Amino acid sequence: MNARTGNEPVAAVTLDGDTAAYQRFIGQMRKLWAGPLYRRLRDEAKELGDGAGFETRLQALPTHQFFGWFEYNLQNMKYSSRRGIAAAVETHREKLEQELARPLSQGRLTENPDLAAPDYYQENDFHQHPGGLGGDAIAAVVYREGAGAAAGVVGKAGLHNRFAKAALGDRKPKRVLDIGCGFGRSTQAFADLGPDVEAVGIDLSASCVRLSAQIAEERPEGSNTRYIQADGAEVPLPDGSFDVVTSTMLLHEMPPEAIRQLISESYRLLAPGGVAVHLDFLPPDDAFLTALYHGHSDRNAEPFMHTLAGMDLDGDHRAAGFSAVEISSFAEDDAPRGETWRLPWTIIKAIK
Amino acid sequence: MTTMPDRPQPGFFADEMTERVFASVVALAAEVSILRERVAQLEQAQGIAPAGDDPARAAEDFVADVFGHLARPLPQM
Repeated sequence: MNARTGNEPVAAVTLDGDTAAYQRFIGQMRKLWAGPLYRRLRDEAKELGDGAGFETRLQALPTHQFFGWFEYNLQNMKYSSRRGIAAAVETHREKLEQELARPLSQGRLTENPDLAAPDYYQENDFHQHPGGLGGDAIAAVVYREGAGAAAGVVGKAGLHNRFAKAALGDRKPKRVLDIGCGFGRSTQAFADLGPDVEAVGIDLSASCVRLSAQIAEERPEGSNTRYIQADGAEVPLPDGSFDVVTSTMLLHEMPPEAIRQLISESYRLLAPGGVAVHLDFLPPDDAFLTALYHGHSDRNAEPFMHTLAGMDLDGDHRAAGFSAVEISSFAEDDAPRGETWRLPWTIIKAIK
Repeated sequence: MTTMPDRPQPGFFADEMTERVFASVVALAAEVSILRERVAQLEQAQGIAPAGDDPARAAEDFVADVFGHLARPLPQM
């Protein structure tokens, strides 16, 4: 166990005053975008009528032009500007690299320096994360800080615990595999379901599994988690070794063929009766919200949201051998629906 | 890797000049918001302003004052 003092989180980053003020400004601009500006756009879209050409008519609205500008540029500013998260984290590089390289308990972390990242992973800076999560040792810290900054979605308090509970209901799993674990918050949420749970988080990013392992090392509740650098399409673990295979906000970062490989691999890894359950985004049955979904895909460097929306996830799970497949919307919080823009959270659940 | 500096900057407005002007306005507002926080901290340190003012609330008010009109319908001509 690493010796630390006080309550400072692992690989902590302190923003200087101006950067913190800048991020607060971005956060308030995002609230304006997701609230009042969204509502004005929604109301104007109602006047457009349905039918062919709806999306073109929507895009021609001046309000939509502002909406798109806000969505793309505020994310860009949050991450990549002079006072963005990437620059702020960079100033702590030496300290962060040292902290991420600290010794860990036996078995806590398995890295694979020879792992070949798939092309799709290397060719895109998803959600405008500069440089992606793959190569840089401190990329996971940028991801974590970005998730919590400027009214970010991923850092929303309680999201992961809420999903873990909603995903499994009364089921009490003992062995959970979390694919694409990021900085480990989703893995920990499943580990928190009970004292007997053992959760394994895997991610292609060495930086992510390192940060996850270091965070787990510091916390008593992290004792039942371990992390492996691996591809969800080819997991170096035995058949039938999990009761639950899960992912959170991963599928929309993958092309269809990679998702189908992940589904097949999940089937192999699950014990009979096990559950595959994923939290992701699918367009709702609404022309306006579907247009915003595809717009988000374009504006937020999420190219595979388009292809995910076109997949037959029910059929793909059944083709892999799963029996029951259920796709349902997920409420990430208790806020009233329709008054703010939100990602269309969806749970995809299948039983082996 | 298609990283941010390499990727073509998408356009959102009907003309390039509006795009540039609005980017400048937002960048300027961000700097003003930062300076407002600095001033508030100095005033609190000097006892001119009450301590404990919430900077997030101040930023929210500033954004609403400057950009809130974008969310209101245009007056009918």
